[in-house]
Amino acid sequence: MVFNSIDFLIFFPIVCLVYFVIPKKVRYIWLLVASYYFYMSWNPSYAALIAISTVITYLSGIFIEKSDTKTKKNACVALSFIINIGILAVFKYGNFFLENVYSLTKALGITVREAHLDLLLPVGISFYTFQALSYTMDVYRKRIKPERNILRYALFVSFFPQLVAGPIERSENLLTQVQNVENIELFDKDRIRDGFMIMFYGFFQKLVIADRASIVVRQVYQHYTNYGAVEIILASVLFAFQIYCDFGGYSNIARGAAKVMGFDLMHNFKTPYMATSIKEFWRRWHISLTSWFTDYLYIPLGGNRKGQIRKYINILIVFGVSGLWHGASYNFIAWGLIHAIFQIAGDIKNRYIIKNRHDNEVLRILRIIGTFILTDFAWIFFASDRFMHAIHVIGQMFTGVKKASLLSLGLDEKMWGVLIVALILLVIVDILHDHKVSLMKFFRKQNVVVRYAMAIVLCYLTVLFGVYGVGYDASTFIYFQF
Amino acid sequence: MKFLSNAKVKVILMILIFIVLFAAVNLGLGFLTNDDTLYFSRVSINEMYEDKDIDTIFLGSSVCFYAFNPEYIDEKLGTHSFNLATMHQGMDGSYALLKEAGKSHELKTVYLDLFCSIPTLYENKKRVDLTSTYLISDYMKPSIDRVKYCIDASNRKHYFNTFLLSRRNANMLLEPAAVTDLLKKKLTKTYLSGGLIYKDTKPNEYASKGYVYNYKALKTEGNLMRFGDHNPINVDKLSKDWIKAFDGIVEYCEEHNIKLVLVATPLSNFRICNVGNYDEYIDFINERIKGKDVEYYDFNLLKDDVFADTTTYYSDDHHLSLKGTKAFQSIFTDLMSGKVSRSDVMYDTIKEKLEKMTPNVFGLIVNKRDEAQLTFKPVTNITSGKFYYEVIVMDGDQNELWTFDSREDDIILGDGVTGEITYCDSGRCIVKIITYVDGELKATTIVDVKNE
Repeated sequence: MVFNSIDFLIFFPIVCLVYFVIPKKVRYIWLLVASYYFYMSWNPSYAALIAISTVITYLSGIFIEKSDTKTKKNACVALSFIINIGILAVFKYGNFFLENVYSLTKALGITVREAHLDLLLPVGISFYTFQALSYTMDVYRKRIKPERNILRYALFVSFFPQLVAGPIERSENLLTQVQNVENIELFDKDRIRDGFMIMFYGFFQKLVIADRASIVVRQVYQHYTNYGAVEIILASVLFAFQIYCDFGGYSNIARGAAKVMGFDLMHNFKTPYMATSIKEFWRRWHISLTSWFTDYLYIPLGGNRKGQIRKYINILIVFGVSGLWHGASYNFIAWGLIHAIFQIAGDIKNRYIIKNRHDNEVLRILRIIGTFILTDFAWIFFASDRFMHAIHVIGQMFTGVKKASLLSLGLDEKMWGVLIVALILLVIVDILHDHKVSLMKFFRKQNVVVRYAMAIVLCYLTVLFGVYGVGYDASTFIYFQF
Repeated sequence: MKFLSNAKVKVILMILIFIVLFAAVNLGLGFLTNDDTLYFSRVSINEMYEDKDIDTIFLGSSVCFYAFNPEYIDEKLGTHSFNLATMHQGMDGSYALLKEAGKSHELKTVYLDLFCSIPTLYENKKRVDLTSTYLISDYMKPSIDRVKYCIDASNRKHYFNTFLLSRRNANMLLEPAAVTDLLKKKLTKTYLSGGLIYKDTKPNEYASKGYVYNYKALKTEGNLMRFGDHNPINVDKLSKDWIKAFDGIVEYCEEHNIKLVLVATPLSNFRICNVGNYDEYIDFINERIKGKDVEYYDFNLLKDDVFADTTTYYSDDHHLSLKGTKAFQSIFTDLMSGKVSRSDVMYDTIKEKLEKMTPNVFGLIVNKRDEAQLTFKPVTNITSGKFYYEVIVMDGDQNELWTFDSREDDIILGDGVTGEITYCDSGRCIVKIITYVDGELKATTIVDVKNE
């Protein structure tokens, strides 16, 4: 079940309706049932995997606390990681590994039968695995006491708004709220209204911008030999907004849905394309994943505490792994490593050449544009099917400047108009947010008539101009594949 | 006020107000962007609700709303009938309208038209265009039946358009001039009082009680022609949804003691002959209603001397013109009243009809090939004979470009392509093909190449 589906439009109100009327004590049980139902709507067998991950990490927390020696604690953590990462590795990277072994043996002249695992990649496995593992680490580091109620813990792992595409929540935030769900004041009109507004904006991002941009991106990237530099650059720029609005839109729908039910999920995006450096970009983009890797990989590797060279190696490792986390394919690894290289180059530039000035608005805007260009170049690898596909797309830019009319890229004049206006709105919203102008605060200050009008307008922008239903193929969220 | 201090009430009120506003905006935007100014069903379904004494209804597609005039029929049969046919009405639409009419009327008779194209269409879930559904659902009173009809009519992809009127033509909001034009049409007294806004040319016109005048008629010169064959009716692959709805109608009528009469309005001989296996369809229907108290009159079996297939009786190969309707209704009411018997006016099978009919060429099936070529074959009940063709190729201004006469050649009738010509490869081109069989002129067909 995806958010942009009739199923979810029926599911969510029913879940809320029951949630709002049932006794407080069983609220978390109802949410757990709903979350598992949500997840099993993809494939019922997925429930087994998330249940295994839940049980393993739940038990790890208890055993870590009960263990009296550091060795035993470490063993619990190691076991939790091995099992969870093992499951992730088999389902997500098993075939990638086998393909590479086959290629290597073939290159070495060794005859080996090509093997393939017939496994479906469970939706969201990367997200909930990391979320569950963060709990293990948080208990180990005594940031949180282990949860004794397995059902509450299971809800923390499987909470449906953020289950399949994040944000990757920390136990200090989400688990704490799950533990206090009975105390949530459900009938808070302002919170519910805000939650719905965030959801509406998320749907706008996803259905009006992301899915419309994807039409052009798909057309150009799948038929890149027909296009020149202008079309490819245009498609790549649109991809930057497609993935931002797809993923950011999902996160907003998740945050909004959770808010309606009384939960506060973390912000996963903070106007990422307003970043003035790659380093800053990663403080604004997929924040939950960045902080996860920082806390559980970069810092344990030594972070920046072991000298510059080691720091750069750690950055390469973290971003390489991050790329791999996104997909079992070399183009994703390349994407990650490109970011690492950019970040290292930026660090070297600041350290040894010239530091960024923060007092000049023109320079700041130029840095924003420059950062966008760098991230967009990296996105080419993300948008491509394979590493060589990305190379060919880049190469195609040098075969000609412009080879086709904009109207041959999948959108007619009116649809281009809608996309451009929607992008302008998005950029305005992001600029305002970046300058700490809170649109939610502005919204709350208006009188009731204006608030209803704003809600209806935002809703109808999506209803009328969203890419869904007849004439469009259902577009799943990009990050579901991770 | 005290009750509003209750947080629950505030939340519920907030949500309810939003839903009401959402629905109102949906209707408002739908009003601005959906052009139903010429939808006959908007008028007919509303009229049905207002007319409290209906005891007889006609259900079917456009062939039906052109063919049955309730005023005429009521005069002849003493009924109080209503024609609930709508454009491209599927059997599920017929069933929905039957139930709708049955809610507020004591129906005694239902005439269900079985135009053979309808059951060969896609299954509901594969429907691409839902206009035929909306022509009915948009004007039904709000009810669970209406929702169920909409849900069952298509796959989920269509639900947004089905239930969100504003979404169907949302792109029109990007054309302010078009919205203004439509608003001008809708804010007229005629529309607001439930009438229709016709364009300057009126090929048809709503009469009353669901009947529609068809002013179009084929010209006296020129037999029917069609690009591409009609498909044979594959009775093994008829839409399961059609069959289910059909069975539902039969059962409904049984349960409610309603006389069900299955009819098929007469299609042109050109159509019936080209389909080729129409008898299999008749057999299928007869098998379906075996043992049930259902009558079935397929008016494609009408004898030539009772209902001559002159081109002026039709506006195309399946719709009756005004003249054709008048001729048909007379036979229909005579048959229904018992003035004439089935065997007086009908053959038993299409095969018999085509065998006993005067040998004739009903028209040509034409196909375009590359390099400005047309191929054609005659649609005919002539099983042996020497066919030849006189071909005249003209430009758009009727200037003759060249002619060809194959009377020197003997072309024996065979299957497939029997003629091939090259027409002008640029601009408008009109090809006149005169078909002779054994020296006798049998058909004149005019092919306007532009109108593919």
